[in-house]
Formats: sequence, structure tokens, C-alpha cells
Amino acid sequence: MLRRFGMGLLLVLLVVPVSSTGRVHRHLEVVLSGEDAIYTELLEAFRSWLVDIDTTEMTLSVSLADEVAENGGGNFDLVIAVGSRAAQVAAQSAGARPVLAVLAPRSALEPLRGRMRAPFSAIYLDQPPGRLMALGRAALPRARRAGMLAGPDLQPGPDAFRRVADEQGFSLNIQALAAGDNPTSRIRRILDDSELVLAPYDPLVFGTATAKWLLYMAYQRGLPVIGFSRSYVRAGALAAVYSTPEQIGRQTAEVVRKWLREGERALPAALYPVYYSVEVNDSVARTLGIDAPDPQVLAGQVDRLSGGGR
Amino acid sequence: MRQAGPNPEHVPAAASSRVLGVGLAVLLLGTLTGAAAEPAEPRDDRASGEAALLDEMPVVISATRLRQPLDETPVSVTVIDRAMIEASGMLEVAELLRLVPGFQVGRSAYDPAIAVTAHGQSSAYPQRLQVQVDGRSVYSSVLSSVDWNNLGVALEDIERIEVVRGPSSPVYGANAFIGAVNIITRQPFQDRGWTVRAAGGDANTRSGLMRYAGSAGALDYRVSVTYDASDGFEGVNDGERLDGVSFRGVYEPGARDRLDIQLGYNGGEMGRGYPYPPEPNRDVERHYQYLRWSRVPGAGREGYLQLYHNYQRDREVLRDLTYTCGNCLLEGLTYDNGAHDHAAERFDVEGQYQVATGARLRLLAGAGLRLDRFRSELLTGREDFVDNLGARLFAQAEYRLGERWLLNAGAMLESSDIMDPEISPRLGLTYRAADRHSFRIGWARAVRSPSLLDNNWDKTYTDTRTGPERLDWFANSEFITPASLDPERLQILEAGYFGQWLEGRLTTDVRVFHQRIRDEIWLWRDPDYPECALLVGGNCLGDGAYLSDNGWGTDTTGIELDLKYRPGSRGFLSLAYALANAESDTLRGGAAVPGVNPARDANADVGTPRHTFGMLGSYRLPGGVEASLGYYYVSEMGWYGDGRVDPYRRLDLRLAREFPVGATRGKIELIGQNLDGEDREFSADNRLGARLFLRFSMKMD
Repeated sequence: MLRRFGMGLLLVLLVVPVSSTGRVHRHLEVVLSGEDAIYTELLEAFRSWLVDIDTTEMTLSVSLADEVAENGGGNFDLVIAVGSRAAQVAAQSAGARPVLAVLAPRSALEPLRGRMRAPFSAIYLDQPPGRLMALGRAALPRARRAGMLAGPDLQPGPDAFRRVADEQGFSLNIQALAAGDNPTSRIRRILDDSELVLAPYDPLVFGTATAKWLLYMAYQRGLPVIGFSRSYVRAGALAAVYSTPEQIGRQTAEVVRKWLREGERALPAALYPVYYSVEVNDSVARTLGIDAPDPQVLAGQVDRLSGGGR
Repeated sequence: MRQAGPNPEHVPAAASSRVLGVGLAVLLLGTLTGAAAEPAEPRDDRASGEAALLDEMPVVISATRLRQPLDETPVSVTVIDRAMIEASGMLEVAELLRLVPGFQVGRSAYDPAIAVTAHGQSSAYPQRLQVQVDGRSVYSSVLSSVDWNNLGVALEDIERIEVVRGPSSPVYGANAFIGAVNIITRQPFQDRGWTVRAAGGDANTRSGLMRYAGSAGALDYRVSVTYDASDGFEGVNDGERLDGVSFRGVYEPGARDRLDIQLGYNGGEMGRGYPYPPEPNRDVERHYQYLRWSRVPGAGREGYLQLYHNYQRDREVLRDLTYTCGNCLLEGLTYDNGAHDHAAERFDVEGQYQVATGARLRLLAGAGLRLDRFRSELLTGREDFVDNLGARLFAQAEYRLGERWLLNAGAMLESSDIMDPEISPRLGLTYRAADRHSFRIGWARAVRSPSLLDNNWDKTYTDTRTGPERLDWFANSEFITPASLDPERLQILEAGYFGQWLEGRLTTDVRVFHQRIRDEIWLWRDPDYPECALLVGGNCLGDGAYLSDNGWGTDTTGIELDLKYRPGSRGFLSLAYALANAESDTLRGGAAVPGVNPARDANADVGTPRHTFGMLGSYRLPGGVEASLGYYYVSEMGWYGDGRVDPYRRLDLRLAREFPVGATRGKIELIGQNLDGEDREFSADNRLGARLFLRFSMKMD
């Protein structure tokens, strides 16, 4: 379906005369990792936030990562890669064209930077550590001791987490987890000494059942978990700060708008999400004896505490 | 009141070594499968990234699977968690119940049963507590009580024990008459790798555990092989040699479904329980299969379907009893010779569905079907199975009437071949006075169906001699059920307080209650039953019999206190205390009929011990040694059929130390039980002196 859409768009381009107003016409390629809703939702949001841009100024072509991998990239001014697979494919086939990779975590995108010759820009899907820590502070005003697991690919590294913990008045116990380690003993060490568990996205921890066990064991001890996704909250974390594909799509549109005006120098090396939401699990909050605050209120507090923009 | 059995003969048990063999084979198989299937978890290509952040995850803590917060439950719940289980130094699961306010544990001389009851009023075979392991009832129709020696789960595999103090049939099912004990086992993932544990000490106690837990794709599994042996009390034939193997597998193929499979097999030899040579002489065999399929179709909704099957078989040989009356007609008469073979099984299927609609209402409803069967020629006088098919329907609702008030209502409808349809309702109201302080009041009615054995007693002896001297008219009935029984009935009114202090470090629960039980089923002595068999010189020969019948009533009033203090991660203190008073009377249809059961009457004044106290404290000393102390006290108490026991005082001490063993850690424990002096446990024959045990464990990740 998307391919047809892309083809249709190209057809329009051929048929409709290009009016020369003096403005440079830009071709953007959007490469989607797949046909899943998370990618199409981002695309829809992205498009809707750029709906005022005239087709004389910018046209969009949409393809799937698998197609691009097979057929190679076309000749575009900017490639927007949606999802980690698209980012991998774009990094390989982009040539000299700039790539803006979105909707993938930092740990998936940073390794690709070295492979690119042309500018590589990224909007991470995961939240800055400061925001996660601020949520911990907002949800548990009196807690002092926090703990977390850190795999070898955790980005940013443990030091960044320690720094933001310090800023929010927490001591942070970080347990390193290597592939092949038994996660449950590490989790136990965290739980022995913490009042709250921080769960940022970590590829080693969250690619496996460890995420599930962490929730279960923390719950058994009556300890709240502050997580990185809405589904983690539904699964049993107390609260999470996360960004939806729509929110990333909106931010992507803003970056592209800036790029249209100012050119390549407007592409940032990397950005954390600007728009985010907070979700709370009321039932878990009740069982843990925590007054479940309104997610909006929490989001406002996170804003203030992390000094970040919404 | 199971009598008989002079010199029992030893029955060699072939089952025992077979179980061990099977167990080790399964363990080995488990390890191999695990090793083969378990390199790094496979990671979705596209998903080393956004899928983890945006896709759905299995709901681990569902709103309805959640424990109700303790300040909102309509009943008092005592939780014995893993830390307490370890600190207690107990080697038997039943003993842990000493930490529950108002509970008494008695190791009897018979069978040997372990009796666990709340506020006394019990024989060696209490039937009024519902005991479950992950939802599977562990009741034995042969004992007509809970088979604590053969739960089919190792102590090391228990995560926590939740005890509901008070009737709670709407949630915990039939037989949650005065309370419910829910033993929750650990998830297989919690103990990945190998665990080895061995203990030994006084009373010739030897026990060992070998366990492996791993995963194969979406299946987490655990296999445990256990061995337990002990000589029991001195001079009493209550030794045991049991081995077992148990398996638990948790399979989560997707985000919504979960399959929990448990299998167990154990067997060995146990003593018959009398002051005879301490050789176990009863061959026992148990096995169970359990399956629970849970589904979380969406937020706030959850259901499960559960099936299980329990099977038990006991074989024993008793020698003859001989009449010696010095020149009477019955001189030399022998009776009760035979190899006795008892078998029992239970099939149960249950479905339950819960809905949490918004923040105000939570609903639960379910239904179940159960078939109990049991065969014992010795106890029922029949060679075939007696059985009972029953059905149950239950529902519970929890409704928030505003910020501070919570209303709880539930009922269970039960019917079976033995019992006409009966309803057990429960109502409760909770008021949250402040953050983490709440008051509650509750009322409930409960019904306990007569058990298969209650309803089918016929233990009758005949003359086993084969020559011309045989008296074929002789029939000495010891236990008989003359007519079908009515269910027991309970009504209770209770009030409670729950509060957390010191920023959550101190938790207190206080409960006061007034409970009335009527139509209690007991064995009543009738000296003239059936009719006087033979008059010799004006004396009636044939001893009469114990009749199984309804007709006792008990009113119990009490106050219970449950305190837990957890100042930090270094230690904790747990205190359980109950003060209770009971008044009992022979009441048949409301009218008193005194003197019918002398054994019951003799102990009636101390059927409920006045004070019950249990305390456990643990502290991790600098240097890595963990010290724990337990103190237990029960006032003078009469166990029905077995006599009075003086106040029970027991001091337990435990020292534990962890140390590195190569890349892993080991733990060594010195456990001392009853260090303060000898006590009688359950009966004057059971002398409990000081006991010392050494236990070693090692976990290899």
C-alpha cells in the first residue's frame, strides 16, 4: 500500500509542472522499518505537522527498509529513517546524503554514526536520564536510594546516570549485567538496598525476560519501578516517561522544517525527545501505598525538575 | 482417635529408591534440555530497539492479580515471607505456621499427623483449615485432614505463605472454614541454575535437596529432588524416610497467556505412630498433576482455568491384637490382622474470572467441580471406593463508596452428594481513617461439609482366628457412622485495625472476633453400641463404639495481634500473639446432652489455649553472620483424643554465614530448636528435647 502511495506521489511530481519560485525544491525519502502501526503513526503525525509546506518546496517519498536494502537508495536530499532497521539500511546505502534517524533508541543509533560519511542526525526514542530520575523524584518525594541494572550497551553510560541521580538527591546503586550473567542475583542486590528501581531502556536487559523478572521481584518487595515505556507501566511499573510515535513524528517535522529553512547545519547531531508523556499504574500505586498522582501533574513536575521543555 | 496396632511389622518399601531414581533422571533431563535450548535469548532483529519501547509486554502485575493492599482487605492476612522462612530455621513447612497469631501446631503420635489449627478445638486431624499450594488443595481423604508431611513441595521452593485468619469461602473455596493457608511457590526464574542443600542433626534427621531451574524459550522450569528422613520423637514410631521429585513449568507464549504446570511424586516409609520400635512401617506414595491456564485479555480483566489431580496410597501391616481377660469368653481372641491398603484421590476443575471496572468496582466470579474418592477397608469396612461429587459457585465484589470507604461482599454456593446446597456469605466494610491506617468490620457465615471419612466410618474388628474356637458373632466396632451427617455451621463477627507506623517500617494488625460453631462433627463414645454383644456376669462385653455425629457447639472470643518491624535491610522482627477464650457444650439440635463423650469433656476447658505467642527476630551482624531468634509459647491445651499438654515454651536459635565457594556462594547454618528445656508436643508421649541441626546450601547461577 505504501509503495503504491509512493509511486502515486512520484506520478504527481511528473505530471504537475514544477513552479520555480526561486526556492529550492527538496526531495525527502522516508524509509520505514516495516509496515507496523508504530511507523505509520509516526509518518502520519510527521505529515500532518508539515501539511502547510507546499509540494513545490518539498516532496515526500515513502519506502520500506527491505526495498531500499534490495534496490539501493534513490537520489534524495534527506533520508528520514524511521526505526532501527531503516537506520541501518540508510546508513549503508545513503552515500553522501544526510540521514535523520528517528524512532530508535540511542543504543541502536549511535553505533551507526561511525559508518556514515555524510551527516548523521538522530532523534532518540528513549528519554534523557535526567527526565527519568526527575520522575522518580516527583513520584517519591522522600525516597533517597535508587537502584538500576546496566548492561554493557547502556547509553548514556552509568556515570551520566549517577550525575543526574545526584542532582535529584538520590544515591544510585548500579549493578552491571553482562550477557550470560544471571540477572536475578543482580536484581536481588539492587532490591536489597533501594527504595526505588530505575529502569531506563537497556538492550541487554530489555531484549529478554529480565524486564519481566525485574518487575516481578521489585513488586514482591514492594518497591516501585520507574520505567521507559507505556507498556512497561501496564505490565506493572509504577510510572514511566515515554514518547509516542506521534510525538516523535511531530519533533521530526520540526527538525525538517528547520532544515528546509536553514539547510544542513540545522540538522542536530542528536536530540532527545522534546515531547513526552507520563503514565502511572494506579493499581500498583495503591498496592505499594503510594498516592497515585495525576500523570499530568507528574509531567509538570518532571518538566520543572529536569529543566526540560515539553 | 485412630487406635489399634501393637507391634507393626516393617514393610520394605520399593517405592522409595524408585522415586529417587526417577527424580535424578528428570533432573538430568532438565539440565540437558536447558543447556541445549538456552544460549543467549534470541533477539528480534528489528527489536533491538524500538519494539522494546513500543510493543506490548506481558502484564506481570495485573490489577486483579494484585494482592489487595493490606489496609483494604476485609480479612486479616498474615504473610510469612521468604526472609522469615529462612530466619526461622524450621525444617518443616507446618512449623512455620507457629508465626501466625492464634495458630497451634502439634506433631501427633498417630500416622504421624501434624495438626495445624487456629484457636485449638482440634484432634490430631483438624479439618477446618483450607490449605493450598498455588491453588491446589493438599487435603487427604484418608487422614480426613491436611497431609503436611507430603505437601509435594520443598521448603526451599516456597516463596511465601499467606494465611487468611477467618472464614473466607467466597475466595478460597470450600473448607476455608476458620481460615485459609495459601502456600505460594517460587517462580522458576527466581532460582536459576543449581541449588544444593543438605541438613542433618538430632533425631537422626537427614534431609537434602537438589534443584535445577532453567529456561527453554518461553518456558521457565524448575525440577527439585528431595530426601527427608528422621526418627521423630523418642520411643514413638513416627520416623520417616521420604523422597520426592517436583516440577514446575511456567510457559508464557505471548503477552496474554500463561500456563503453569506442576507435577510431583513422592513416597517412602512412615511410622504408624505408637511407642514401638522406631522402624517406619507404612509404605506411602503420593503424586499430583496441576495445570493452570491464566489469561489477561485486557487491562483490568483476568481469568484462569485450573485442573488438578491428587493421588495417594498408603500400605501398612498391623499385627494382631489379642484379648487377654483372664478366663472370659473372649480370652485369646485375636483381631485386626491384615495388610491394609488405603487409597484416595481428588479431581478438581475450577474456573475464575475477575474484572476491575474503573477505580471503583472489582468483581470476581467462578465455579468448580470436584470428585473425591477414597478406599480403605480398615476404616470404611468396604473394599470399594466411597466417593463424593460436588460443585461450587462463588462470587465476590469490592466496591469503593468514596475516598475512604470500601465495601466487600461475597458468597459461595456449594452442593455435593454428601451435602445439600449451602451458601456461605461474607460481608465487610473498611474505613481508611488516614494514609495507611484503616479499620474494618466483618460478618460471615460458613459451612463445612462432612468429609468422606466423617460420613463413612466403619472400623469393625472381627475374630481373626481360623480354628473352631473362632467366635463368629464377635464384632467390635471402634468407629461407626450410623447415619448421614449434617454440615458444621459457623458464624463470625469481627473487627480489625491495620496501620503502618514509622514511615512504613512497622506494620500492625489487630483483630477481635466472636465466633460460634454449631453441629460440630466429632466421634462420640457410646458404650452400648450396637447393643450389648454378650452379657457375662452382668458386664457387657464389646467395648461400645465411637459414633461419628454432629452435636457439639463452641463459642470462641479472641483478640489477635500481628506485628512486623522492618527497620532496614539488616533485619526484622515479627510478633504474633493471640488471646482467646472458648466455651464448648454438647449441643444436639440446640439441647445439651452432657457426658456422652468423656474424652472430649475432659479437655473441653482447655480445648482452646488461652495464650498463643510466636516471635521471630533476625539481624545481620557485622562480619556477615546472620543471627535469628525465635520464641514460641502456647498455654496449656487439650488436643481432643490425646489429652492435655502443659504450656509449650520453645526457644530457637539460628546462626548463618555466607561464604564464597569459587565463583558462587554457599551458606552454612547452625540451628537449635527448643533450647530452653523439654516440652511435650501434642501428647505426653511426644517429648521434644533440645535439637541441633546443621544445614549447608549452595547456589550456582
